[in-house]
Amino acid sequence: MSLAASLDFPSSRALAGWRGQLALFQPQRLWVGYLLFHRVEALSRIVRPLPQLSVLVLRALARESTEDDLVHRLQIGRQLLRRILHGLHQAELAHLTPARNWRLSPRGRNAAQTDALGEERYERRLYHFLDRGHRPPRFVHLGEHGGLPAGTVDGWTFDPACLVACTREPAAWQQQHGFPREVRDICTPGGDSLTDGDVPDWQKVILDQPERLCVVLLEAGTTAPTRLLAFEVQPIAWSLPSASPVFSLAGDWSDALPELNEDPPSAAWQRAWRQWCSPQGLSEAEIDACRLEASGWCLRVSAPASVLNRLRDLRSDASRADAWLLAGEGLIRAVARIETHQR
Amino acid sequence: MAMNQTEGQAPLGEVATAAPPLASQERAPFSSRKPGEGRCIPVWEAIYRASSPEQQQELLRLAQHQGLLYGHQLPAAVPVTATSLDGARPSLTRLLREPQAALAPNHLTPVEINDTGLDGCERHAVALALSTPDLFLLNGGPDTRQTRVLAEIIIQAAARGNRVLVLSVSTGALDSLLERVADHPDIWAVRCLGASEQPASLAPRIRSVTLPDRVRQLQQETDSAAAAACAEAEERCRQHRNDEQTFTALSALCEEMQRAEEEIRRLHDTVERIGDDVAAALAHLEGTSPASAAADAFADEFKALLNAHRATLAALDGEAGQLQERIKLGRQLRADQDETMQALRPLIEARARRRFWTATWWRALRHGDVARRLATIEIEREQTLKQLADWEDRVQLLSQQRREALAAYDGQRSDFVQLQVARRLQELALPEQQAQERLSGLRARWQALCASLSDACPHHGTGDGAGVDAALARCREQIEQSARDLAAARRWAADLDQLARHVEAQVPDYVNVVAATIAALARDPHFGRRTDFDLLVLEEAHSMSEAELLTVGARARRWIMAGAAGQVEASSPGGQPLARQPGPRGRMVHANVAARNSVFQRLWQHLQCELPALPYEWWLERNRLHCRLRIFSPEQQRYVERETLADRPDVELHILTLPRSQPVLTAVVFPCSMSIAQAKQCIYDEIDELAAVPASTSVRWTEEAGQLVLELGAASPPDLMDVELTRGVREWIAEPRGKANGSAPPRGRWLTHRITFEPSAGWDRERAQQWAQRLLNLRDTGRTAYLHAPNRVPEGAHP
Repeated sequence: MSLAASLDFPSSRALAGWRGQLALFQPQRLWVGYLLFHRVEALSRIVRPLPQLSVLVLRALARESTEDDLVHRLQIGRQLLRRILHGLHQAELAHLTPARNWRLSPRGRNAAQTDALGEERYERRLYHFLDRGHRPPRFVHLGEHGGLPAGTVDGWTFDPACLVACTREPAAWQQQHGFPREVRDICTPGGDSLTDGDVPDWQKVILDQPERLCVVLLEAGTTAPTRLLAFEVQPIAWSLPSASPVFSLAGDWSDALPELNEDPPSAAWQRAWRQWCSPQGLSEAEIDACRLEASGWCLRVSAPASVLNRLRDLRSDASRADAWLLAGEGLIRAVARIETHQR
Repeated sequence: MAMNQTEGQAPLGEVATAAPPLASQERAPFSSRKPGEGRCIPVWEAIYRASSPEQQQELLRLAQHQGLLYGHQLPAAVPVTATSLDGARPSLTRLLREPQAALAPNHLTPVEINDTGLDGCERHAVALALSTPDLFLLNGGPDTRQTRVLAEIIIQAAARGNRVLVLSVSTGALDSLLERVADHPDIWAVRCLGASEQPASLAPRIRSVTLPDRVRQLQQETDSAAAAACAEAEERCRQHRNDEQTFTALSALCEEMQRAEEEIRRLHDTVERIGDDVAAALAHLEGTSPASAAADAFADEFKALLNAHRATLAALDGEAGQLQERIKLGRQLRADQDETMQALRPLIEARARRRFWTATWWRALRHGDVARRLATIEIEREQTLKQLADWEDRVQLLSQQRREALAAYDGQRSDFVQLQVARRLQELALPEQQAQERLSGLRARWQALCASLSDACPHHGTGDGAGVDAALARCREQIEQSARDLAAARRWAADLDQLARHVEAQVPDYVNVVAATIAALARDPHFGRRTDFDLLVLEEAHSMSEAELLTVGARARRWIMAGAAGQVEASSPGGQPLARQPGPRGRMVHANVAARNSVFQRLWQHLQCELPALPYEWWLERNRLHCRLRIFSPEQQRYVERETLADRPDVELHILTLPRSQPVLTAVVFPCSMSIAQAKQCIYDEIDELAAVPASTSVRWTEEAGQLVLELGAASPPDLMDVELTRGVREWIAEPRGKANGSAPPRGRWLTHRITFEPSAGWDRERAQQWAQRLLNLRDTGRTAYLHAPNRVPEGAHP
């Protein structure tokens, strides 16, 4: 059994429920389905930039000063100043002398002189890479969201070089893709490219787990380049837990998800239409009498008056233009709202 | 891509997400979502630590080989628990589920309390709260100083670098607490605003700690202060530069003054040396030939004098020389004459004697008239002598004249010298005066310049060049420093200007005390999602549900809950019904009912200082006081033997002697002559047991009138009687009162209501707790403190 076949997809009613939320983004096309992610956990060398206010105080400490002097010079209030100094002390950038003077540590002085103002540490971080089959996975910033474990997936592989490469990308790329800029390097087992000699090998182990995220994908924007927004779907209630997208991809989204480039063939819509019509009690002849034309997230159905009357009598959602179809067989399926017209 | 049949297994079950139905058959090997959050946390460390050494080696080998590990390769049965994911700290969920099992000991560390008004119990509560590794409950009714104790806890925690979240159900309690801590220098607090709250509606002090006000203060006050600092630095720079110019002028002036002083000194030296100089010049002139040319009028004048003197001397010396020559010739002549006369005299005598036979006579004859000749010579000699005498007199005179000439010369010379010195002094007087005047002028300018120096560079020297140079160097250092200060002030102002755009986003990072109602926190954009608090202080915890507690508890590592648990109900003064208090989400519930049902109440019951069931019992039977020490079954009654004390035969001991067992003292029966106090003392002294029947199983440590009190009853009856067990320790007992239906309780059933410990007798809390643990088997988790309302004067009762 294929993975797609084992998964549930939302019903027409569920899709109709999202319409109000999604309409705000002026969708051009819609898809719903499951994305597979590599949930990669790796020990990362983090250089976290100091908050700007701390940087300013650090620079002010170029001259050894008492707390009172700093309060007088900086005028940021003793309470806030103490908090900032505490932070600098914690980051080993400044310390209090026995004479109660605040003084830059050698590290702090070096940081202030070179403007390399940050605290370095190693911590395990999670990174999500969109699995694209035989193509290299692509980093996607999911923030604090995450998918559900996808168990064991056949042929599941991940090359840690993909993650390491992200740390080498230019800042503009990292900003565009939401890759955390404070991550300067990735520790790899047996790797020697880092100054991580003190880190035990077991901590450098990279862990990859497949995760599955149910999403509704939305092409937003009326002019090119459009954006692809992904909204997390909670499959329990088929609800959208958040009005904000779980991630968004800019212009090159069709490269990230090439399966979205091709609209489903008309046969797929036919099949979906047929599946939708069967429970409505329409005969095969009536179904075949309808002509379908997919346009964006609308499926124009030109039907004979008898069919329309029938649907109206059945109080079908289609008669209220609130019936939705899913086309396709894969993990991601195109979504369209049925718009009926009399032939 | 197909999913194989292994999906859905949950080898690391406890960590697995509470997955929705779709995923319920596919529980995660190591996903670890916290309740109420979508955030995932790394789990490798927990898995590795929970693995066996063999598994660890295998995992490492695989990772080395593949470059990474895949989820399906992890060991299936590693017992990763929430605890192992978060160190040894039990989760709040576990604490609620099994409150005592998960508790680590609470090791008290000394705390220097800031609030000196707190009593010993309150201080102990603060210490317990600060040292608890997980949870601490503070139980106190509305009349206690719970807020004050919480304030002390928050201040102490913040001073230790902790980030504290203070949550309450109502804003009143929250603000009351916040007002107590907000001004402390170690605290930078922020009060979150509720949905219906407007900053304008808050008290000014509370409004000032809302985030918008914090940001506004920082932006406005700091900006204006930075601008003022810039202006001040610029002014300082300007002053220093002026000072530098002044010091440069002072330096030049200093050189001038030195030159003037040197001139004056030189003139003084010249004056000092004038006599010598003149003398030397005269000596020099005296040493030169008279014909040598004179250099100046002084020399001319002196040469004239000298030449005249020399001429006089030459004349005298010339005449004297001639006279000497003459005298010499005269003396020669005299000598010749004397010789001639000497020669003539024998001849004359020979002639006078007429001794012609002698050759002398004949020689006299040949010489003619020697007598006349002698007479002539004698006359000539006389003349010569006279001439000689004249000449010698003349020589004497000349010599005298010469001496006089020399003396006169000396006098003239001396006069000449004096004249010259006077003249020269007169010549120097003007330049010296001018030099002095110039120096005075320079000194006046010096003072004026010194007076124009800024306070930052004072200089009160007197023209010392080195001092001025040093001061100038110092001034230049100050210029550099002030330039640096100015640059720093400008940079600070510019940085602040840039920071202004991000300040609202940055300020929350520095906040170490966040105060909010539960509802306000949830909607707060800055703190609503933060989970990095070290300490959660929950006010009105008795009003919170377990769900609420779990939700907010996930935000912090340790939890302090303050509320009013069941004990308050019993001690409600005068038996008045407790006031209605707002419950969660505005529900109005009776405080005691809410407290009874709340999770706080449940935790309090589990964690409070608890007394186990004790076997002791007192009763009066046949007018004799019985004390049961051990419980035994009725079947064992036949093994009980009775003995009397050797020194007190009226005291009867009941000893259970079971076969093949050690005898056990089960009861003591005292005679009617012994009071309960004597009986208790006897048991304590003789068998080292405290035969106490607690009035309640709920116990708490308090402090009252300087004494440490172990309360064993909810309320102390008025007719308490004390028994001194040992020095400083008193047991307070009373017989139970009659029941409401009027039936009298059996007599002699003494209940213990409290035990007091006298600090002056060396009983501190630690010693008292050890004593209570030994004798009462009292268990204290160190997670609770009960506050009471001692000496509380009602409002309006003050004079």
